[in-house]
Amino acid sequence: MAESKYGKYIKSLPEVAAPPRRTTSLPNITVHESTVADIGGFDFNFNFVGIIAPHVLGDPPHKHDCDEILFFIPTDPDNYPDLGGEAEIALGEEWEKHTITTAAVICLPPGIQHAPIYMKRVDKPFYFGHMLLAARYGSSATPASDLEQ
Amino acid sequence: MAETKYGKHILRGARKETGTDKPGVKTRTLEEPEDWSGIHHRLNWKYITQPVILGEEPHSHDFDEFLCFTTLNPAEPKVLGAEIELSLGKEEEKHIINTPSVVCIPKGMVHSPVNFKKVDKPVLFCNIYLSPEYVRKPA
Repeated sequence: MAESKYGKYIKSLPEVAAPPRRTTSLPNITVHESTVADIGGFDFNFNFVGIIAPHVLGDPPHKHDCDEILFFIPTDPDNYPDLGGEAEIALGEEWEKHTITTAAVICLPPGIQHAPIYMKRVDKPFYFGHMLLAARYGSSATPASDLEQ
Repeated sequence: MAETKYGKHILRGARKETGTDKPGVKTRTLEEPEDWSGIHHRLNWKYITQPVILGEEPHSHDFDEFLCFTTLNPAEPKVLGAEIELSLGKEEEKHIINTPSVVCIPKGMVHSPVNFKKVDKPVLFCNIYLSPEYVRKPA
């Protein structure tokens, strides 16, 4: 393109790096319908997520029509059952708040609303995850916003 | 803590040691779980800090089971720092696990022993099974 007098006034999308964001969680081991399709699949899925820094999980309040377990597993066996952090989970449509500071398993029969989940403090990374009796996550979830419709 | 409606669904970690720990195996427990709110699947976990053999005899179950091996350093999720030899099938086909992995064991499939041959870094060994009772059937 020939040298222009006014081209300099046009600022196209600049090539800049995405702003650095703090890593707050890292995916870990998982079983999901796509990972087990070649062995026939299971009516079950779970994941482990490494919780690295404080954040709020993205899931809105919701409930499932099948059993779910949520778990918090510490990574320091010598200080068991200390979680190495603090999480707060809202249970029920009342958003009843529960604080988790130790290893914990939360048993959620069908229909119990849960979330938000707030990872408030992370002194030492720990694992959080779910185990749901369905081939994939969300396949049987109802967001709270749909519950009254 | 004041009485709550949903607190009964939370099983919290307990300090109680199990009597079945071997050297290098730290099994950590939850407070008396009672009925797990009627849920029928389970998980438990152990911390493996030195070489050890678990589940010595080949066996199977009437339920699906998932053996999970991962790191105690979630910030480096692709590094296990250990080598585990696992036998699968009646043939005792040997497999080496040296990255964070899940072994999916459909009901009826023979497996074990689980041989933690090399443990440079501690391993989180989590057992998930789709039954309220853990029952082994000899191969």
